[in-house]
Amino acid sequence: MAEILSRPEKAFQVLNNAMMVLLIGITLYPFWYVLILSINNPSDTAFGGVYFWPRRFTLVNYYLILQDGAVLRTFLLSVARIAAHVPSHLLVTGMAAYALSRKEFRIRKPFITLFFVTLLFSGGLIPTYLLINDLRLLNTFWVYVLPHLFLAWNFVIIKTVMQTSIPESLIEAALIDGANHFFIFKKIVVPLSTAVLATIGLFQAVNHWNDWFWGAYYVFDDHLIPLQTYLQRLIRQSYMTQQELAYMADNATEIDLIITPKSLTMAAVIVATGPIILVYPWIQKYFMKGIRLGSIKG
Amino acid sequence: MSTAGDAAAKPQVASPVSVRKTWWQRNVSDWRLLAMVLPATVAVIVFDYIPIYGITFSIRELDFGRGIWFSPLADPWHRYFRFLGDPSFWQVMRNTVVIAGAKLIFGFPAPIILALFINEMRLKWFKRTTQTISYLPHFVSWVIISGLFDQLLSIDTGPVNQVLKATIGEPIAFLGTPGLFAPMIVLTAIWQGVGWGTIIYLAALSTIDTELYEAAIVDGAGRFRQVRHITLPGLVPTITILLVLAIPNITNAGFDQIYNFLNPIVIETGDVVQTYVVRLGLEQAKYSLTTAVGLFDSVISVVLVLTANALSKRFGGSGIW
Repeated sequence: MAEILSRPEKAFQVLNNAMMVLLIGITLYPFWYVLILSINNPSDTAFGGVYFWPRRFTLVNYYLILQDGAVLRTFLLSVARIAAHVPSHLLVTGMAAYALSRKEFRIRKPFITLFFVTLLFSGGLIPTYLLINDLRLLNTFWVYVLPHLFLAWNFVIIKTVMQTSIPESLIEAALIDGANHFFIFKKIVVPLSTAVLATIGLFQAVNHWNDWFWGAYYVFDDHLIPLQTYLQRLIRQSYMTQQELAYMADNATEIDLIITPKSLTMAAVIVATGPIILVYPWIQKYFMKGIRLGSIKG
Repeated sequence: MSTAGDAAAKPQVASPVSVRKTWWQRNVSDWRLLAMVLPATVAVIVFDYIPIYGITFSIRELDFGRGIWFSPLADPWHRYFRFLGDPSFWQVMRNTVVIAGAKLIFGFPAPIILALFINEMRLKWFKRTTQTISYLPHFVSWVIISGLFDQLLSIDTGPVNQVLKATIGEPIAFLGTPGLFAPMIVLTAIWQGVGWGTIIYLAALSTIDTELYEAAIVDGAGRFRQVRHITLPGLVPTITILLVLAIPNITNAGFDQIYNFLNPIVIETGDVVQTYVVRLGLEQAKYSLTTAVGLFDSVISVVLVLTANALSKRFGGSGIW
């Protein structure tokens, strides 16, 4: 639109753009601040005054957290739980969505009702926890997989997309040609549903990457803890010491003790944020679609 | 079954009796379809329905020999409503409603206002950049966000308090002052969600007929009056629906966020129903009491969801489902 702007309009545009620059600054600065703390010399950071640019550049914080092993180990566990969760979730939810989208499967109503109730009502945290405990799943890798095989909300979205985007005639033709439903699901339905499956898969991957709760309460073995839960512990430690500092402000020796882990925590925060930034272009691409998928009624 | 299959293959010799399909054929048609819903069905029964049955913990008298699932049922009225007599429950309920209410009052209009300003941007590439960057915090976990703000607002080296020290002379313990907990939760929630929240409004704004604006310009309406008389009325249906859908959040203060910002100093104003359930239930093993509180909370939210759905249908929306 090549339009001639009036003077007040021009002034408004300048002001509006300036506000947006401010918004971008407020959004990005917390990340930037933590990034420069993570690449600044830890004892130098303790003097304060490092706000926009590292004063004494170093990668020692990253070196130390890699050497410690806990960040790498919990990082890999987070990757492993996603690698186990996403395909199993898509398979179980996707198969149910396909089967219940078939009109010839006339007893689908009770199944849909069964799934639908879970959208509305759940037993809550304590019964779920005691169940997991009694199933002997507590403190095993399975708590990251089995309870998350199915989600009614994703089921509704996948089923709706399958029903609206795959031509019925295609499936009917395959059935007449003698293909069975397993074959049709594998060779026709899944390939034609890659967009919705990728969206849901990415969504689940981001959610499970960001999840700290299952790692905090359903496992206690250090080797089963995901990155976010580990990070939470690091932040809590540095936070608590900071709160103590607020109370007893003039204890200089304490500051020396605390500053180093804080810089390490910041390096770990950056390590945990990194993958989200890396997949962000795909998030952009698919989540916009996801919002539209979510608005389709089941 | 096999006779019916044969009959279908050779219709010319089929007798009326053998053509009639069995119940199985009419209703299931293929065992493979049943096999495909089976994993999901088992998962839902085990991980959703058994816990729903577990709600009865709230009225069971724990018998260690039989385990909590099979302990005898106690007098439900006496047992279930014990938590209502607990002052700490009311404190937690109050905190929940205060925080959730503040989030609704301040957090709900924020994306509408931002969307209006983004909508006025003329530089296309800058508009896209602004949108892309503003969505980012939505995808970052609250663990990380609490870590970011912990540093940003830190008393000793944080930049915000450095500015405060230089201007008003003394730092503020933003995350360590009971009176500031609710405002900080609202502010960080807006920081995290405002950009993402604009998407739906921007989509609604893009559907407004551009001829309306052209006509308004011909009539001499300025930017402000166009917004006032075209843009805002165009957003009213979306705002109404989203406001109705926000009703169930009146009792949802946001567990994930609050848990990560909560610390012993701010517990009196920051402890909400869900953090209370986690602390008493998972950390102190008060299963019966916390199941009761959890049920109370979830009944309230089901009632609110159903109310929201009914209202949304009444306001011409399609309902939540």
